[in-house]
Amino acid sequence: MQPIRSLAAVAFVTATVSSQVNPFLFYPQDPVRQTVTCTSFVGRPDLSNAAEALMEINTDHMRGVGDANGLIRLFGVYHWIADERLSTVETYDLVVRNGAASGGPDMSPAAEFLRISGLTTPPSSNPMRGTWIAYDGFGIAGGLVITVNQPPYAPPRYYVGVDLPANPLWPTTDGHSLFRADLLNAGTGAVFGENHRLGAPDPTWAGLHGAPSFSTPWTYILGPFVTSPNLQIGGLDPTSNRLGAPGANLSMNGLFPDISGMPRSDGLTLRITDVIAPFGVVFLGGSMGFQPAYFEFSLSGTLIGHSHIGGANPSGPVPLGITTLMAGVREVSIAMPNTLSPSLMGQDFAFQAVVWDVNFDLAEWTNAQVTHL
Amino acid sequence: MNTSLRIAAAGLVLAAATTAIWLPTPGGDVTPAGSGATPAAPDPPAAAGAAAAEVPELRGEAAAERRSHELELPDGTTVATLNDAVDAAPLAMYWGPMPWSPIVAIERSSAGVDWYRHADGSYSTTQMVWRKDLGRYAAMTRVAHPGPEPAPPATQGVAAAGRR
Repeated sequence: MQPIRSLAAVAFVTATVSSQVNPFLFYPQDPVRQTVTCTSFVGRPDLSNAAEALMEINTDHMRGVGDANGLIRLFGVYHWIADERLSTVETYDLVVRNGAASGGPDMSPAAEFLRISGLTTPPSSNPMRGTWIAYDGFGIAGGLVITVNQPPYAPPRYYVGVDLPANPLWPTTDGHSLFRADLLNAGTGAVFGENHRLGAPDPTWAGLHGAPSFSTPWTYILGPFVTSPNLQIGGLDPTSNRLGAPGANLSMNGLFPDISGMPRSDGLTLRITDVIAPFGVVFLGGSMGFQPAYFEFSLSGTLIGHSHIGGANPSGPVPLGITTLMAGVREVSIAMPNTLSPSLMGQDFAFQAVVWDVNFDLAEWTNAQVTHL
Repeated sequence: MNTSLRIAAAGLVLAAATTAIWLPTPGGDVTPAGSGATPAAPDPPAAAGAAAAEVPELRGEAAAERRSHELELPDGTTVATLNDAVDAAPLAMYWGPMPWSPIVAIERSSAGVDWYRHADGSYSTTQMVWRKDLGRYAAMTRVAHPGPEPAPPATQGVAAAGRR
């Protein structure tokens, strides 16, 4: 008995040293694992004015992000910093805030789940523009906990972002901005960027103090660190080069595909990623829209998180297959282009997966996401 | 690689996670930039062991205090935390998929923050930040890798009235 216990302890420590966390992102490509070719511009939420660049996490679209058995636990923020002059240090805050009842972010101090003020970029002697890929981590003990005691165990909307101070020098000689992918209707003339059907809502916000906040028609390379695995729905539009490379658009095209047939008839793919169990076994499932959050108590201690695609039989998820992650990623085709009937327009389909680490006999639900057909 | 992290995050074995953080690791320091030096060798374990035999309780507290000021690196060694950070998360947690690159110097930014400079041009640091949500200061572990050339800046604003 004792050798087994010792071995388990050693394995635990070793694993702790080598551990990483997953950035939960909503961007056309996976900047952690793919070469990013879809960026439209680098930009600020409100040009050179002070504003928070806010990613919206909305339970209409996503559930179970960072689900630690009913608590949301966030362990930092991943973001790409574009700096017009690397040799001058940039200052920013990290912020996580609740949504306002009327829509958009609640900009009151009371709505701030988290604010970390006065973070700065690294030193550099380079006077040119450049990029920092920033991992701002809180650690496990310093994880942000957001508690909502009723299903789906998340605020209807909350916002993760970077608060940028005003900088009149941007972009002429200096200043901090973020990588962004513009929506088709952004009106910016972007060649590369998001690709979605017309009428899709803006996915991000400019959070302002002293003036009304407004939504922004682009996505950012920005998101929280979580320990739950990620699931993203990718949209496949073979008529578009908005991605700048072959592949699926992992953000707005998966969330709002165009299957009208006039002329687009997008396909769908699922992408599961996880750095914690990079060769884990993946059980995929789906349902007609989100289902009530379900916790499998018989697997308590073995399966972390909630199902948002159905509970025990007969209302269980529709099984979609079993596969394995390879080096932390797996893409699974759901529908090839030109195969989804326009008669499905108006339907919501939800997808979620379990990633099972067979070495530790521990599994966790990914986030769930819907595609709004 | 670390499903245990997942368990800890879910609050199932937080006590075990805390224990793991406090297990012994070799200590070390990094000398300031410009010295051309690399991280110093770990403390001789024999000397530490001798001290332990004489006053074990004191050694336990001292060792714990020392470890709280150490930063675990992805290669399993440790260096001192920077900016007086206490109980910073291991650097591996936030290093990302890039290959590990050794520390070559400490640099202080114009903001007064010390950073480790790595051979590949990356920077890392630890620092204490006020956490209103926790009601205390807490350590951050931060990494900045050089990224690709930024896209052109967007100089066109959003028509706020047209947005929700």
